[in-house]
This record gives sequence, C-alpha cells and structure tokens, in this order.
Amino acid sequence: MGKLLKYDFKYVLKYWWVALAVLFVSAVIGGISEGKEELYWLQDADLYSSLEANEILSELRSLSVVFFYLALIGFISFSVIIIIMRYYKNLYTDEGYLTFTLPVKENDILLSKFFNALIWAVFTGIAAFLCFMVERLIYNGIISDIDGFWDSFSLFFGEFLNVHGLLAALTVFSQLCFNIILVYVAITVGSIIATKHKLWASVGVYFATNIVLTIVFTILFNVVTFNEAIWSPESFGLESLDTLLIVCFVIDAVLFVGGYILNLRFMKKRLNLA
Amino acid sequence: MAILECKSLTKVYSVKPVINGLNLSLQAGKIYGLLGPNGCGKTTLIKMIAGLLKPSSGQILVDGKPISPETKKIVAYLPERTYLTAGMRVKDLIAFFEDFYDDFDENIAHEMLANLKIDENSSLSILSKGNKEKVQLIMVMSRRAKLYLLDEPIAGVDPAGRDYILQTIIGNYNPEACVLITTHLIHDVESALDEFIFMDFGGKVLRCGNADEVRLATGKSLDELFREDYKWGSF
Repeated sequence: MGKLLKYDFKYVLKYWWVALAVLFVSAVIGGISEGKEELYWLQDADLYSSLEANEILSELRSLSVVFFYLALIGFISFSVIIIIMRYYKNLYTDEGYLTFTLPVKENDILLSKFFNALIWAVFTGIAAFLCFMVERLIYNGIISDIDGFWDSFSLFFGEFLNVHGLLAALTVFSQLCFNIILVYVAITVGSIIATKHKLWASVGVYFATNIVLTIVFTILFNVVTFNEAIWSPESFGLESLDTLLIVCFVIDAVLFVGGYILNLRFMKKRLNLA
Repeated sequence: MAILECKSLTKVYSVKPVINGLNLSLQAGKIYGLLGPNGCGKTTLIKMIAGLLKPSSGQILVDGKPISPETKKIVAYLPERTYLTAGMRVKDLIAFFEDFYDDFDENIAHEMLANLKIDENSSLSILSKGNKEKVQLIMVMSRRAKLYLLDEPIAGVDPAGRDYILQTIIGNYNPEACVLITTHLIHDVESALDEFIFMDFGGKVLRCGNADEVRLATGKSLDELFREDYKWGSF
C-alpha cells in the first residue's frame, strides 16, 4: 500500500504545488493591493497625483483582491479535481490495465487512493487557510505586530480546544472521509454501468446518491425535531449539540464503512475496463 | 505441471457467452499463438488470466494457483492499448516497475531503451505512439516472468516495427517461461510460434497443436490453415 500511496502522492504533488504557488503570489499581491495607503510605492510619485492614475490604481487594487479570492476558490477546486481525476484515470481508463495487474490487493489500491485524497484534502485546507492568513496579515499591516497576531491566533483556537471543539472536529473529519468515499463510489459505479461517457455517468450517480441521502436525512430530521419526547428546542444547549455531533459522526462512520465495502466489492467483482 | 490451466471457463456479457466452457492447458518453455478473428474472445480470455475480468464460471490456474496478487507477480501482461501515465518520464516508469515487480531486470530495460535510442529522461507524453508501445513492451519483456500475456503486440505497427517487436519478444523472454501471443496477423508471428490455438467464436478451440508438426502434416502454413478454417461464411 505504501508504494501505491507514494506514486499517488507524487502525482498530485506535481500539479498541486504549482497551484499553491499561484495562490501564494496572489495572496501577497492581494494583501499589498488591499492594504493601507502607505503601502503603495507609487504614493509619492507624480503619476499617482493624477486622477486617471488613481482610478487605474483603484481598479488594479480591486482586480488583485478579486483575483486572490478567485485563486483561493480555484486552488481548492483544482485540488479536488486533481484528486478525483487521479482516481478515475488511474483505475477506470487505460491506466487501469496497469493498476489492476499490479501484484497488490484491490483493498490496497482503494486504501491508497483514500489516504491520498485525505492527505491532500487536509493539506489543501491548511494551505488555503495559511494563504488567506498571509493576505490578511499583509492587508492589516500587522506583520510588524506578529506577537499580537499569534496571541489572537492562540485565543481563537483556544476557544475550540475543549470537548465540544474536538467533537466538532471529529465530525468534520468523518464527514470528509464519507464524502471522499461517496465520490469514489460514484466514479466506480459510473464507470462500471457506462460504456461511454463514464465521467458523466459518475456525476449522475453522485448527484442521485446525494439526493437520496438528503431526502432520507430530511425525513429523519423532521421525525426527530417534531417529536418533543426526543427533541425540545427550549432545552437545546451544548449537551444537545454534542449529542447531535455524535449522531452525525456515527452516521458518517456507518456510511463511510458501507461505501468503502460497496466500492471494494464493485472493484473486485464488476471491474469493466473497456 | 502446466503454467496455465483453464477449466470449463465461461464468460458471459449480458446474456451472450463470449467464452463458453473453454478448457486449455499451456506448458512452460513454449511460445503459443492464440489466433482467431476479431471478437472471438481472445482479449477477454487474456484479461481474465491477467485478473482484469472475473470469469462467469469455471476456473483459471496460473502455476497451480487461482488468480490473485500471487499470480500477478509471475504474469507479465501487455495489453492491446497504452496504459502508461502520460506525465511520467521513462526513468520513472523503470522505477515504478522496479518497485512493484521483484522479477524486473532494470539492466535489460536500460539496454533495450539504449538500443532504441529512447532518452530515459523523456516524458512519456512527448513520445510517439509507436515509441510508447515499444517502451511498454520493453517494460514487460524486462521482467523474468513465468507467463507472458501479449495481446495483439503487433497490431497497428508498421512491418519494420513488427520485426523489432517479435525480435524483442523472442530475444528477451525467459526460456523457462510460457508466452501467449494473441493476434489475427498470423503471417507475421507464424515463425515465432511453437504451438498454436485457433479460437472460434464463443471462445471454443477450433484447432490446436504444434506449429511445425501441423505444417509438416498438412503441407500448409498456419496462415493458410487459418484462412481455410475461417473462410467467410464458414462460421
């Protein structure tokens, strides 16, 4: 499994760092542009005094900020797409002829793809957050007051370092794991049922599954919230929130295990490389 | 012991059996030609042996073991299409095969690539289709496998390329191994074959035997026999 993961990791890294570099540069430029007036190097220049130049600068400033936020969205989207494409191409296109004839178990293949997605999802989240912080730091000009920044940073995360925060983090993690498997199951099923346009079939399976799950959980949620014996809005507090988080965690964990087993079964029994 | 055994092997797509109750036994140290018209089930059979498809019923044994990662360790498979990851460099591919196959001989790969003047630093995406196929063949033939499965290795290749591919196969395969080549270009591979299997639609064996013996007995080449057996409208 380690060898498979190594190649999956390297594949994503090759494209990911380029997207990260673009995001980082846009964060720096965005931060400088959006920042305080005194940060402008053109402030004292003759050019800056003219109205036209002012307008151009103002537009450039807006554009660079918009570009940063677009780059941020683009970076996250790109990371998701590259992970999905790695799974799809490596297993269900011609590359699958090599992957599925390697002397490894199907479980190792799926596990490596899952961990690859998980690692890159976490890296992407951290990188996006750090780039956002870089942009904000430059914008607020608080690089000079870095100690103050870390104090507020510690204070902010200190709030979450308790049982409730950890429970919330665990639920987010289980949600992430389930969503990775849901996408993988959709691609596997889509690639098996379709002879052509496998990706579109996968997208269809993904949305169909999501609709079914949404309907089921909406019904369940309504049953619970309309039953006062189970749910009382008046007494809703942190303990109720914890219970809700635990329920969400358990549901995600069950769906994750179910999805994983289903995916593995399809890979073992119904592989359909054209 | 046979290196490959197929017992009552059946593969059904929807309701149509592509292979129906096939029995086959291949011995080590021989080159077999699995010959038949397009759509007779040659590729389906190869895919099942390689572990890419599951049989509907029946059994496949490679070196006495059912298909598993253990059998994949000793089977070198060349599909009819290019399965290489485009962004990889040739040297990355060598490292990949080295990582996954204990029987991969890096030196053979280096030598064959040098003979073809293929730069190992080249990205696979910039290689021509012909060179990609050759790189793929080199990777497969650089393994010291017990069973080589070569699916249409010369289809879509010019005559000079065909000669090179056949020379590579004959010159590099492990003499104690078994090679199974599928093709419908009988004339080009005939000289390389020890044994032949004519496969009919439905995955049944129409005729099989030793290539030299059948040529001596009938006075005809395999290509001529193939044309007789598969004359238009005879099946």
